[in-house]
Formats: sequence, structure tokens, C-alpha cells
Amino acid sequence: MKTKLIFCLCLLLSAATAFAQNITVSGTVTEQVSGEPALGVSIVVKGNATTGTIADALGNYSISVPANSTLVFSAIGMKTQEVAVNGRTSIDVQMVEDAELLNEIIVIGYGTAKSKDLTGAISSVKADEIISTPVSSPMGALQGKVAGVQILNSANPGASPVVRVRGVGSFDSSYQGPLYVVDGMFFDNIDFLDSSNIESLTVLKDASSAAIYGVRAANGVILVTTKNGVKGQAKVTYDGYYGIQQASNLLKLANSAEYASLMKEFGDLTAVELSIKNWGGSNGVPTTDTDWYKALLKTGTITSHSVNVSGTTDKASYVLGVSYFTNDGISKGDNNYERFNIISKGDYTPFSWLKAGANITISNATKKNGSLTAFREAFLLPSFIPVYDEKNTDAYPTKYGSTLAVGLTSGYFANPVARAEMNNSRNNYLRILPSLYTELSFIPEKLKYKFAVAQEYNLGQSKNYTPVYYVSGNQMSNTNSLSKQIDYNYNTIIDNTLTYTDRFGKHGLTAMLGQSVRYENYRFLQSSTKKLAGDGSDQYHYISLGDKGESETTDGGFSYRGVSFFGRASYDYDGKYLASATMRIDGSSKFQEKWGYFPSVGLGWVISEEDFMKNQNVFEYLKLRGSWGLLGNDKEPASDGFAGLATNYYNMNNQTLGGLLLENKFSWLKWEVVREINAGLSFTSLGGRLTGELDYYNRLTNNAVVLNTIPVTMETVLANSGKISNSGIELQLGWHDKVGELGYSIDVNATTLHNEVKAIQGEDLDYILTGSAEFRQIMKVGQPMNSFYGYKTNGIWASEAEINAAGDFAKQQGAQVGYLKYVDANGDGNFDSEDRTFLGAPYPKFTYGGNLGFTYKKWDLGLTFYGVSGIQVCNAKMAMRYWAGASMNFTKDFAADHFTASNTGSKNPSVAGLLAAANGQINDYFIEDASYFQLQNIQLGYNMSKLWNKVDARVYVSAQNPLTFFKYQGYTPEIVDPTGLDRETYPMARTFTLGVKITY
Amino acid sequence: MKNTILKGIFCAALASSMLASCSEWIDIPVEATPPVDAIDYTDVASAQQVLVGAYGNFCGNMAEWSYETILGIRGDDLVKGSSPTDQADLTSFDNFDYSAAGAYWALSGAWGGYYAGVGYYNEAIEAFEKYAEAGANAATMKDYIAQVTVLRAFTYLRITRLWGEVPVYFKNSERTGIKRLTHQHVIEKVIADVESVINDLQNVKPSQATLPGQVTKYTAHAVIAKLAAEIQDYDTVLKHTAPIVNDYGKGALMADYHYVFTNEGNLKDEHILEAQCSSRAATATGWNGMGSFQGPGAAITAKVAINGSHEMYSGWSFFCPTDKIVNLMKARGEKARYETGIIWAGQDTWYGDHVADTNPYSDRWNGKFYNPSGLCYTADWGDGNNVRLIRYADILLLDAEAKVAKGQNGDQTVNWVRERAGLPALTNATADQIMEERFVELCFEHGERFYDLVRTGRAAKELPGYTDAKRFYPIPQTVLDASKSMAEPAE
Repeated sequence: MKTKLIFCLCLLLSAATAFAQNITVSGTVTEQVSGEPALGVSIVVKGNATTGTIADALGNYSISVPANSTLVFSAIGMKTQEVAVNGRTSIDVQMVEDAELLNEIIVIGYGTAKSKDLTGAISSVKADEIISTPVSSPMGALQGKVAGVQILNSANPGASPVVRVRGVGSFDSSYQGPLYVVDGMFFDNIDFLDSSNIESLTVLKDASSAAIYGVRAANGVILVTTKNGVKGQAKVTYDGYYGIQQASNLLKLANSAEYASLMKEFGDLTAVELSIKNWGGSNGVPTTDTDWYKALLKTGTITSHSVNVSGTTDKASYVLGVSYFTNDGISKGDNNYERFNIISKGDYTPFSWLKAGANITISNATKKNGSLTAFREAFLLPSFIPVYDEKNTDAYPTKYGSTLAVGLTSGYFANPVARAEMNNSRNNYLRILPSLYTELSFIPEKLKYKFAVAQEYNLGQSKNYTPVYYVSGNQMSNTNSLSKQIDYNYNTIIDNTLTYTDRFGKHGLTAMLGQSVRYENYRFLQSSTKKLAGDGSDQYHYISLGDKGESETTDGGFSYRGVSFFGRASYDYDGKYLASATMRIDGSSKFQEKWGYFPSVGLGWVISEEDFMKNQNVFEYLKLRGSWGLLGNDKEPASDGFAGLATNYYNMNNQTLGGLLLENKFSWLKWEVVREINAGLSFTSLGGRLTGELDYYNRLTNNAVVLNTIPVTMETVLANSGKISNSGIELQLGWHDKVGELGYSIDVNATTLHNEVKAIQGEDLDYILTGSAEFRQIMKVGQPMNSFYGYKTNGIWASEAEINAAGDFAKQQGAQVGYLKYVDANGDGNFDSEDRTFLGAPYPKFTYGGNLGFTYKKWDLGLTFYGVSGIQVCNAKMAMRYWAGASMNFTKDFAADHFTASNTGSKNPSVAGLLAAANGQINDYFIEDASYFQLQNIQLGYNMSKLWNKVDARVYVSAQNPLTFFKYQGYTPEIVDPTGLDRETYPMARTFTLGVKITY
Repeated sequence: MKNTILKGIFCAALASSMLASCSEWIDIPVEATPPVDAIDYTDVASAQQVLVGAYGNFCGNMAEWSYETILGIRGDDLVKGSSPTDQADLTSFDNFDYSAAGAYWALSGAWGGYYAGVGYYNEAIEAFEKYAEAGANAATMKDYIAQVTVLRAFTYLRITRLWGEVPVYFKNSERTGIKRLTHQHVIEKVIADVESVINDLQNVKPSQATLPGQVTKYTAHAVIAKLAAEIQDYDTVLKHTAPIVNDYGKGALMADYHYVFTNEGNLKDEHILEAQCSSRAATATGWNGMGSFQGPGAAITAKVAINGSHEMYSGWSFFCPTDKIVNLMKARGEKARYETGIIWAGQDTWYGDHVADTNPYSDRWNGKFYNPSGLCYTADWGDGNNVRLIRYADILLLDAEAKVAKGQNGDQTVNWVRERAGLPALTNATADQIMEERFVELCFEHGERFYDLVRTGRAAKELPGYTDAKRFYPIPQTVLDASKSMAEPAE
């Protein structure tokens, strides 16, 4: 074990001087499976790490060693072999691939480590596991695969998935996601990458692993390593799939007959009668019966192609990849996403003491956003208006049906199809990520210095064009308008690290010291105009063609700087006892209190290495782990910590004058710090067939930066005023076995999350309100963050007698028969704002996922599933009736079952009851359980190898999201809104694909 | 040995100097947001920018349509309009059912918006004091302070009309833990504040001010008169209407009532205080749908093409005149005020734009936020117009009212208003006659009618469901939730 440790850490060896009685041994190392020369194999003398060599590109080696010595052959990903020389001069060795996960090299911050030597909670996912999942962002494909990582996907093409590692520790939803480190560069998301660009994704979950990225590690770190050169001769890989997408799980809404009947109950048939008058009908039922969702949806397509070429020679390795992805969405109107990526990477080892590499990733994506408003309007608008109406003679360019024709004047109502088709919003993103490094070995295998520079240039261009159109006096634009924005980011990170690795008898030590400098810049320039010359086609979308008097321009940006010093020491005693410690000192220009200090400690005990475990055969490997550490978060807006100047303008006598506003709020910001404790257990059992990891985590965000409300003015200001705790258990279990020709595997993972506000301090209050006045949420000690805060109900007022019996309490809530019965939550006999109480929280208490895999001869079958439970969502689109008015459409379920004189036992109130005054504030009728179980992916593949002697191929069919089960009354229970409000949501989709992978 | 020590010292020095230079390196100002203390108080031009900033904020608040809904809904001059269930809470408020008012979005929005304005005005006034200390022209700075003081006073008038017992502060440092004042004390404190600076203002009509339309001494008089009327302090009302009436005379009223509310009326002497939202300039300041929400919600055919089209944006159909005001105007033989104030479905407006009779919920709308096709710049209903906040006609009627209350004769000023409306003169006008005159003259304007009724004790008689306990909206729940002191009794 000890030698394994040493040699696997060694990547390069220099030849050492030979002893006098040496003999020269030579031979060839080949790969057992392919028979091809094995590359990168190091050969050293056991017990003398300085004597060694590396096999060349043809697998040949030659080494001068003592005749009675033992040679150790090792290479990354291969089992290490020991061969006694016994005086032989020719020794050929076949290297065997090392399938054992424990020897897997895991990328950790500023280095690598073997999985068995880790003391922290780290999960790693290989790109192979996600590449055939038909989603645009690699993170979207990770859903359900890693314990402790919650991912929310949307079917909207190019939409960024919401990612949360171990709960929600930061207040501001835009800062709750993890840090992504792509080849050393920091990112907020990796939507720009194609799965085929990626070698592996490593999730650093606990403090001892993530603290080395102290600056922004508070919400987890995801290390992304782009493709590396594969061993051996040049290899060409093609991956591709094509598929179709369809909306699934559509919520059923009332048809015109049901709607007319409901409005009759309510006693307002004005609009229904107008529909009949305009477009016909009989017996009080309009003929027109539009399914707005159907009218708005189409079948989408999804396509992906990628080609990678990679290889290794004796001194260099390279990768060249191109990939193309496109997804045409399920919404009508402009709604698609297209991305073209190029990746190129080269590593060169000219001398044994010098290694250098450079890589560049270029990603060019175009996204045409579908109109989410159209989906909300499709939900709100009743079916009694036609999509198109030839009688609407004023309408142009298309004769869309008008909501004014039935007197729906409220701004909540508009023709959704017109909304989607008149929407022309386009975003273009060009990202260039160059990076390079140089690594010097001062003392071979012991002391290394690495200099790395990573950069990001990101050019975003967005364009919104509204044509001249007329649907009604409330949905029209009699001039065209155009707005454009150019965003430019240029970020640089420079790292210097010095790593020392050594072994003294049973003591192994790796120490790393580093220093890092960051520079982040963002600028934007935005301009808009109206009344453009030309016919409105794309070629004439230029600000300069607009009316000069209607043009406006604005710009802005930020620059942040950071500097960090860090170090890490890892120690092991005889491979049994593991310890690691990190320290990071970070300075950030964002805060008034600039410096933060982030230490961490991790301990591990490999019980299976103990003598007393030698005689058992239950566990091949068993390790206990524990860690403690502090993590920082500087992902906060910098401009909020001081009183600043803002500008506005005022027209005096038709002359525009520039104005200056003096902000009268002030706060003092310092680092948000997360204290994280992790305790875990890793094991391999039953002959390697069963593997498992069990972790307990407890994260406490101190000094959480929270938006406080200033009394009286109700303005908000950021302050370090909260403590938020996230804790839970993560379990990952795998069973891999083969029975005859049938290989099968079962992997499951499960995570619990307990999110709780531990302390909160407003200006003179012990809670902080979030959300809006109508959809109130609260941060209060003892409850989850952003808990829904409103009235509890207990059924429906069934009769006048019941109302009279309740006396004043019923009067205070404006009780009427058929209305929701509000509960006296504080028990004071009065119904008032003091009765608002905890109604649930938008974070899942339990998430689980897993996959089943089968291989039989050339066939493979995979099935993945995912589920969440214990999560609440505010069905805001339903609650919107209170503002939109009774005319809003109803669900089919409501039409079938709601309070009437003959159905007094319904759980739903009467139509009028939905409009009760107290419904203007959130109540539990609109808070719904959003638990769901999803069959994520079923995939059946057929593998062919050695076609024409050179080509391996796999052909597969897959269904993504074929089945989802939930009770929530929405178009998906995956509400990407960070506070769990479902106002307007892109429907869920299922995707069927046919794919192929070819390797040459 | 010595060598090692030297090396150690060198390393320590290197490390500490690195840290020091690193601290310096990360000490950079925030992009695109200059700190308040970056103001050069010796630069007088920037003082004017601070002044304009205050006006810009004020205009945004005064032209915010959602604030207008809650200001205007409670009177007997108009009803909510649109479909009955669209913003149904407004109808409840109109019927003095405030059960949903605590959470109503526009009420909490208005509170926040008005007080955010107060915060800016306070900050601007402190800045002008610093300019003066740094050597800026003392008289100019005093004028600026006084102008912003008047904007602040008018804002407090709006606040106290809505919620009655509210906190009043003139320095932001006084805000934490502040208690609410009674309605009477709010008015008194704000009047005293304006009186302390009134003589620092320019002694010209707003239209003749250095920057046309800005606050002058006459605006201050008008604001004090409006404040004092709230508590029926008629001595103070008369003290402040008199200089306006004397200097403006009869001729300051626009001859044609129709055009008072179109952009032809912008910056005329008729308007003592207005929020200048005109969009003839490149950018409109905060018009924010003030017109759209009161537009008829039916197809409109413009008489004069706007940008080549005869379509006009028709609006959301809120705020429809009541039968009470329609019948009263008819009975009184009103012509100009009737034609101007009420837009009818299926008819041409007084200007000639046609409104189709397709709205199922209402057949009439508020004409005082309508800007005819030949005068507007875009098809948005009412666009391109200033928002009138205090009209001279209001001051004239207030003057008459105060005189009558004091046992004097108010005929002169009330008759100027009647004459312009094409009505015969009154002799020995009574308080009731003057109130009726105010009703027809000032209906549909920011709830003036409702506040007339409540301040003169006529509301219980005129408004079904009204009791004195219903004069003010309840303090928004968000405000109570955000501060303990707001729930304590007013002082």
C-alpha cells in the first residue's frame, strides 16, 4: 500500500545513476485488452523511487537495475504491478485497467488526490455518464446523480438550471449557486459548455475540500476539467443524437361550457354573452373553445453532434473537439437555442523537469427566449376567444382574436399566441476561455512549482424588437421599437502554487502553498429606439435607423479585485490515518471589511488497514472521515455598502435636465462565512460489489448578507444580519455485479435537508420579511428561509348558521357561504394580521435519485429516476384571480368540484369565494405540495466493437422525462423561481432521442 | 548564521510589503456609483443637478397611476370601472370596506414611494446646506432648500390625506424609532416647515421662474393653503390664498376649460404646481400609465393620425364618472366642464376622436387625463401631458370657501371660476354652493372631491358607508411588519 501511494503520486521520474552491479532490463509494456503499447507507464525499483524510467510511445523501456531487485510498473488508470527481476534482462508486462474506484484520481482544488486518501465529501462524475442526456447545460444532466446537489431544470431552450449544493445558505437567490471552476477560471454557471467538452465534474461539498477556494466556496464548488488527451494513439470520437420534444403533464383547464357554467354561478355573464354574440353559441355556451396551451405549443427538436480527436505521444498530449447543439423549443414564436463550441488543449513535457500546457475553449451560443408571459396568459385567458378572428378587421399583421371583443380590459388578459409570435428577443453569447500553465519540478517528484493564468472573455449581445402590430386597443404597438445590449466580461485569475510531496518511512506528506490574484470586470452598453426605418426585417434592426428623439442609451459595469494566499498540508501515516488542513486568506474589493480568513481541517481513519480488520472479509475498504472548516462568500453586490449617487432627469419646459439623487441608505458589509462540519463513512464491501458513502453535514452561514427593510421608507439595504443553517444526511450506495453474461448495477442516492434560520436581526425586529405584500415570505428564527407566511384555512364556510355561530370572528374575515374559512392561528379570538403563520417552504426536505443499469452481451439498458418531497410551492398564477378578476379561467378540477349549494363538502371554495378580500394575501389554499417523482431517462443501447477492425460504436434510443408524477396544479412542479413562486412557467417536456457514439 | 537571519528579515519584509500592496490593490472604488461624499460642494452646477434630481423623483411619484387609484377612488365623483372583479379591492375602498387595505399593493407601494421621496428631499436639503458652507451663493442655496421643502410638504399632504397619522421627519437621521403624529400635528408641523423658508423662494409665478414650472413663493402659498384647509384653519388659508389671488387676478385662468387638461395647458399660470411629464423632450419623465389606466378600454379612432396611424391605445378602463356627477352637471347646465370631464362611449370627444361603444362594463370615462390626437406625441392615452397638482381654480375656490367661513363675502373668486365655465355669477355664495362649485370644477382630480367632503365634515352625509373612523386608510401591513414604532399610537 505504501509503495502504491508513492508511485501513484509520481507522474514523472528522472533516470538516476546506476550501481556498479546493475544489469540492464528492457522490454515492452502493452495494454492487456487492446494489445496496444501502454503509454505513460513508469518503471521504478521497489524501495528506491529515484531509480526509474518511463516507457516510450511504442511501450518500450530500458532500465539499469540491481539483478535481484523488484520492478514496479504503474500508470494512471492501470493496476500497479510488481515484477521480480531475478537476473532477467527482458521483461514484457501487460498492464491491466484498474477498475477499482478507490484508486480513481480525483481533481481537487489546485491538485489531484486519490479518492481513498480524501478526508472530505467529494463526488465526481465522468462525462460519459451525462453525454447522452439530451439537455443543453451539462449541469442539467447531473440532476439526481449526486447526493446533496439539487438541480431544477426548465424545458425552455438554453435555460440555465438552478443548482444548489447542500441547501440554501445565502439570502440573495442570484448568489445561492455553487462556484464553478473550469480549468482554473471562476464561473457562475457552465451553460456555455457542451457535455462533450468535459472530462469530469467534481463536486466539493464539505469544508475540507472546498475551503481551498475560500473566496467563493460557501455554496459548494464544482470543479470542471475539460477533456484531456487520451492515452495511446490518436483517437477520434463522435457523439450525436437527434430527438423530438413534446410538452408533457399539461394541466387541464375548463372548456367554454364549464367556464360559462361557473360564470353563471358567479353571476357575471357579460363576457360569455359577448363571445356568443361575436362568434356564436347556444344555450348560453360559446361555440368558441380554444385550448390556449395547445394553440401555443408545437413539437420541439433537439440535436447534438460532437467530434473529439485526442492522443498522446511520449512528450505531448492533445485534444481537439468541436460540438454543435441546438434545441428548438416547444413554444410557438422565436424560441430556440443553438451553440457551437471548439475546444483545444495541449500539454507538453519537453524535459523531465518542465511541463507546460495551453488550452482554449470557444463557445458561441444564440438563444431566442420564448415568452413566459404568453404561458401565464394562456393559463389566465378563458377559452371563449378564438386564436384568430377574421372579424377583427383592425388587427394586423395577423387577424388575432381580441380580448377587448369580450370586454376583458384588464392588463392580465391578452392573446397568448399573439404575445408569443410578436415576441422577438435574441441573445448571443461568445465566450473565449484561454488558459495556460507551466510546471517546474525542482526536486523530481517532490517539489513542484506551477504558474497558471486563466482568462475569460465574454461578449453578450441581446436584441429585442417589437414590430408594429394591433390585436386590440390593449395589445398593440403602433410604432416599432428596438433595444440592444452589449455585455462584456473580462476576467483573469493568476495562480502560483508550490507543492511538496514526500514520504518518510510510514509518514506521507503533501504540502502546497499558493497565491492567487483575481480581476473581474463587467461592462454593458444598452440602447433603445422607436420608429425604425425599413420594413422591420432583421437587416434593419439598427439603433441608428430609429427616431433620434426616441433613442436612449445607458451603460454600467463593475470591477472587482481579489487577492488570496492559501496553503494545504495532507498527511498520512501508513495509509491508515489521514489528516489535511487548509488555510486561505482572501481580500476582496467588494467589502468595507476586506479581509477574510478561512481555515479547515479534515481527518480520516482507514479502518480496513488496521491489523484487527485483516481477518474479516466483509469490508475490503472502510474509512471514517470528518472535517471542519470556514468558507467565505464574496458573491455579493459591491455597490450596496455605501451611500451612492444615482442620476435621473426631469423635463422643465420640455427641456430635459439631468438630476442627481443622493442615496440615504448606508450599510457596512463584510464577508459572509459558512462554518461547515462533515462526518462521513466510505466503504467497499462484498468483493467490491457494494460501495457506499454516508455523510452527515451541518453548514451554518454566519454574517449572512440579507436584504433588510428600512422602517418607514420600506427601502431595502444589505446587511450581515442573518445566520442560516443547512444540515442533513447524504447517502450514496452502489451495487455492481455480473451474473453470467448479464451485468447489472444499481446506484441510489438520497439527501435530507433541514434548512433553518438560526438568527436574524432587522433594524428593530427579530424577523425579516421577504417576498411581496401579496405573496409574503419571511425569515424567522426556527423556520426555513423564505417560508411562506400567510393565513391558514380550514375548509369552507358551509352555511349562514355556521357563520353566525362564529360571530365577530367570521365578520372580521368577511365570511360568506362558500368562502374559505380562515383559522384563528394565534387563538386570540380575532381575525387579523397576527393570524398569519408559517405555511411551508420552497426547499425539498428529501431528494433522491438513482439508476439501474444492465448489460447483456452487446446490449445495455439504463434507467434513471429522481424525486423530491417535502417541498411547497406558491401557486401564484392561481392566486392571481384576486387581481385579474373572476373572468380568469379555471382548472378542470375546479369546474368539476367546488362549493355550491349542492356540493357543500368540496375542498374548493365557490367562484365568489376565490375573490374574498382576505385572499389578497397569501393563504394555504394557494400553497401546494410540489413533491414529484420522475422517471428521468430510459436508454437502450447496442454496442459494436472492432467494426472494420478499427471502429467501436454504440447506437441507442432514449426517452428523457418520459413519466413524471405529481399532484401540484401546474405545468411542472420544478419551479425555477428561487423563492418558489409559480407566476409563469415554461411547461415540462419529454424528449425522445436516437443517438450514436463512434470511436475510431 | 547571520546570512540566515538576513534572509528571514528579507522574507518577512517581502511578505509584509506584499500584503500592504495587496490591501492597496483591492481598495478600489465601486464602478458607476460615485459615493455621496464625492460631491464637490464648491461646484454650484452640481447643486442644480441635485435640485433637478428631487424634482425628477417628485414627478415620478406624482405621475404614478397606482397611487392615483387609491387617492381618487373614495369620492362620489367616480367609480372603479373595468370589469367588476378587476382590482375589486378598489370598489371595497370606495364603499369604505378597508378589510383588504392593509395588504393592498398600491397602498403599500404609495407609502414606500412617498417616503422614499421624503428621504431624497431630506438628503438634498442637507446637501444644499453643505454647498452653502462651501461657498455657493447663499441666496440660491436657500431658494433650492425652500423649493425642495415645498415638494416635501406636498408629499406629506398626500401621505396624511391617505393615512392620517403618520411620521414626519425632515432629517433622515431622525427616522429610526420615530413615532407617528396625529393628523393635526402632521399638518401643523409641515406648515411651520414651509413658512420658515417661504421668503427664500423666487417671487414670481412658476411659469416665469428661472427654470419654468419650478416651485416659487406662490407654490408655497398654495401648498400651505391646501394643508391648512385640511384642518379647517381658515385664517391660515386666507393668509396664503390672498397673495396668489391678488397677484394672479382673473386673467390667470385659461380661457378655454377644455385645453386646461391637454398639453396646450402645460406651464400656463392656471397650474400653480404640476409634474412635468411632457414627452416632447427626448425622454418622458415617469408618465407611467397615468393615462393608460383611465383610458376607455374600447377601440379609439383618432381624428388626426398619430405616427401615421389612426389607432390609439385605449387603456384599462378604470375610473368612470358616477351618475351623481353626470346628473349634477346636466342639471347645472354645465357645458365646458361636462364635455371636458366626461368621455362617452359611442361618441366623439369634444376634440373629435371617436370612442367605440364596445366596453361592456362602462359607457363613460374620465376626460381630464385625455390628450387629443392632434396634440399628443404617441398613441398612448393621455401621453405627452403634464400632471396638474394644484390648479389656480382650486385656490380661488378655497379662497372663497375660507372667506365665507370667516363671515366674509367670497363671490369674487368663485364667480371668476363660474364665468370661465360659462355660468352666471352668484351673489352671496354659501358654503354649500362653493362646495358644489368645487365638485364640478375639481372632480376626477386626485380625489380632491373626497378630501373636500371629509375636511368639511360633509362626507358622512354624501358618502354611503362613510364614518369618521374611515377617513384614513389603515397603515399598510408591510409598514407595520417592518417596524414596531409604527404600530404605536400617534402623538
